[in-house]
Amino acid sequence: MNSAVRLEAKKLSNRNTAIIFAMFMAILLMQLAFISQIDILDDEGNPHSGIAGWKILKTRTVEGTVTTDFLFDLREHYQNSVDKKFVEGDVDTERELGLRLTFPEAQLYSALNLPYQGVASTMYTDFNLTDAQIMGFYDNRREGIVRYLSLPSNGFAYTDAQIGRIADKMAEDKTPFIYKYSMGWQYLNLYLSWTLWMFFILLAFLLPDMFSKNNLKGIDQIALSTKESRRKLVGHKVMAACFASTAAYGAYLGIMLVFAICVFTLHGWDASVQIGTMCIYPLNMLQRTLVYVLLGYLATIAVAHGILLLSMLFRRGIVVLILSAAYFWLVNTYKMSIDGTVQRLLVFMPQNFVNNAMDISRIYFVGNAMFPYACIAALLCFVYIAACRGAMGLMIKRYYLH
Amino acid sequence: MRYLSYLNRKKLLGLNILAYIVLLLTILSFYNLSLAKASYLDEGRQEISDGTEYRLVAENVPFTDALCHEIMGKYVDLDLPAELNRVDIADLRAVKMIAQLYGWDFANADVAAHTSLYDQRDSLMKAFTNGKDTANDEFAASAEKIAYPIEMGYAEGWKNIHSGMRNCVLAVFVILFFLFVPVFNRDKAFGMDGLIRSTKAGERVLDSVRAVNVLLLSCAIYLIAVAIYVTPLAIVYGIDGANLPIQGDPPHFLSPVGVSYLGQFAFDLLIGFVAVVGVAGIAMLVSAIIRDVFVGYAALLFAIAASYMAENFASEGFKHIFWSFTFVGMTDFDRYYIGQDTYWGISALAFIPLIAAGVIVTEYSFLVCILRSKARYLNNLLKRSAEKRGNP
Repeated sequence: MNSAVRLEAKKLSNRNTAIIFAMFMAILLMQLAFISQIDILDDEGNPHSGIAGWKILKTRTVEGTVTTDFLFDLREHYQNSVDKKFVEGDVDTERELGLRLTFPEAQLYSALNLPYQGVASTMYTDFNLTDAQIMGFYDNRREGIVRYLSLPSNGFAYTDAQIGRIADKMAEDKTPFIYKYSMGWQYLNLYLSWTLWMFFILLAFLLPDMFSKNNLKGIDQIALSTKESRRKLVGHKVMAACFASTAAYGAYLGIMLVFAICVFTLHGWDASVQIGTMCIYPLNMLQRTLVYVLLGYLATIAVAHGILLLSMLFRRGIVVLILSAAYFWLVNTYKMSIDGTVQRLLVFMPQNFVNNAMDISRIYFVGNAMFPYACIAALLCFVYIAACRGAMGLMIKRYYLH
Repeated sequence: MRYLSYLNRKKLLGLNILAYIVLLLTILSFYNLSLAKASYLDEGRQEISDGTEYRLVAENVPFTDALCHEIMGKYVDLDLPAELNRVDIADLRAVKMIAQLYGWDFANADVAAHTSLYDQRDSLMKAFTNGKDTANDEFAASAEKIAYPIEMGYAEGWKNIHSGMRNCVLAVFVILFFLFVPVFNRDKAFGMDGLIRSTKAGERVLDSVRAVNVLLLSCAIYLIAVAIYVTPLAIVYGIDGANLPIQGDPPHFLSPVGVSYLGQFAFDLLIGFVAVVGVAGIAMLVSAIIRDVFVGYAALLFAIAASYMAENFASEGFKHIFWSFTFVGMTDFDRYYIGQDTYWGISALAFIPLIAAGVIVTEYSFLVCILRSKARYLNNLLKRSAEKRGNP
């Protein structure tokens, strides 16, 4: 590493940064602990609540390759299980017991019922399919998804030809699927989607003074007249910010990973993503998570560049902090808006890049070519980084000249 | 001293910053107005676009047994709540209030025929509170003190002011944090601390001036924010119905707090004021304890995030014992009127602000101690360095 970059990075790593980082991690852990609660039944039908319930879910989940024989066995297992009366509403769990139960194999039951009930049509999904329905699972599933995408009430903007392309893609699926308990991987992806905006606020706390501090202390004038060129000076600062952001992202990811291991375990890395998610690409849980992690990293670097640009523009850390934090908060607040314009704008926001990036609801077509949102998001990251670098280069070139 | 105070006030809140704050509050106020208008669309009635239409249909009438029976008879054939859109707009709120007492099945009119409307209300309220607190009898008795029959009428302005008041107070919190966290640690950042210490007044006097100014400016910002927040709502919805009881609104129908809309606004204003004074104290405490401004902001962000998570995920017990007493928690105004919280028989509306006032006194005492000990420590440092140079 260049010594100037190392010095710039050293400026970022101080006691205050460590305190801010520790507080952020505490907030993150609290959030993870709150959203990882579960209500579940044990083998005897007794309800349990809290984080420890995931262990029960793991031991109770029947795993295997989703063949017809496996599904017949699973149906028999369901008919004799303690869950049946709770799933089918003989016991009103929400009102009488105050619980929102999670059942083992619930995601598989949802995937199996998808051609007949649509997506998430009931609170709990049973497994009372006929032999014919079970035997035709893979074909019916494809038809069910096509029907789901075609229904105007579901609000997808795909044309018939595009839906046909999606159906063709699904026909290439590697079957049979593998079904396993994979909550560790699924929650890791969810954590990333739900908390990335908070991590970006942390970046807004760490990086806003990157250019302003030197300006306030009058060091800019000295630095700009040294042997190193102005362009190089910006390069060193950006490089240092990228290293710092990478380290912070690593730590953020590491904490979520450790939490996921402790609460869920990383069992089920090779489970098919088609069960439990709406992804049509033939990936397993590990591959999908790696795509999300990579996208998160690219978004982090893009956001770090954006904050540096603001820092150079305003030269006051507090202004940069207020603007960045307000922006991340507002985008997060309006994430669920049903307004069409807002939704179209959200596509371009880095904090949404990992949000369902491989899902069927976010597929883009360029001519005949079909891309998941992950590709668009990655491309946008590179565009943002290049634009910010270009703008910073221009600004430092004109600095003090006007 | 007065001039010093004036200068400090100008430094803390310059005219340009004040202009930005007013602009921000105005935008938030109009955003809140749009939210209030959109909330009427939830009722799914084509006749109602933004709620101002109620001015034409909602007359001031007492909610009596006769009226209740008349309305129940009118809609006995409807499949409610599925067919709520077939109920006359003028009767809509009364129907929702009746449903709280007798359920949606108006055909089953036996209960209504044999039980007086307000007897039913009292017995329901007693049933709600049973087993929740040791002093429920006192609580239920307070519910019985409400003047019957309850008068209904148009008071949309006051209802909307109440429902958005929390956002207004929270916006003031955020503004106070950003303005006042650097109040005691700016000197160090700008290298002015040594200079200030060697002035005639010294750091101690300046700190007192700063604390008083922060308090005064916080109150001023709060009042400005409330004025900016209330004005558009009052213009669009009016201020009619100020003396009507809040029980005339379906969400507050079973409220045990006997207060008019104007009284409710006064309570909200007072509780908000207590919370703002508390938050100003916290901002100053953070400023006095934490030297780095960004760490101070991060600490406050941490507190807000923790409070937000407690609000959304914590159990009711935790909220009752702890969260309700935090400055963010005490601005959840609906808890005072709709919730059934009591503390040893005392309504949360009186108990929580009282405890908060106690907390604020402790907070400001801490602040004084910290600032004094800091000034003493710095003076000792100066003395020692002077002695070392042989110039006591």
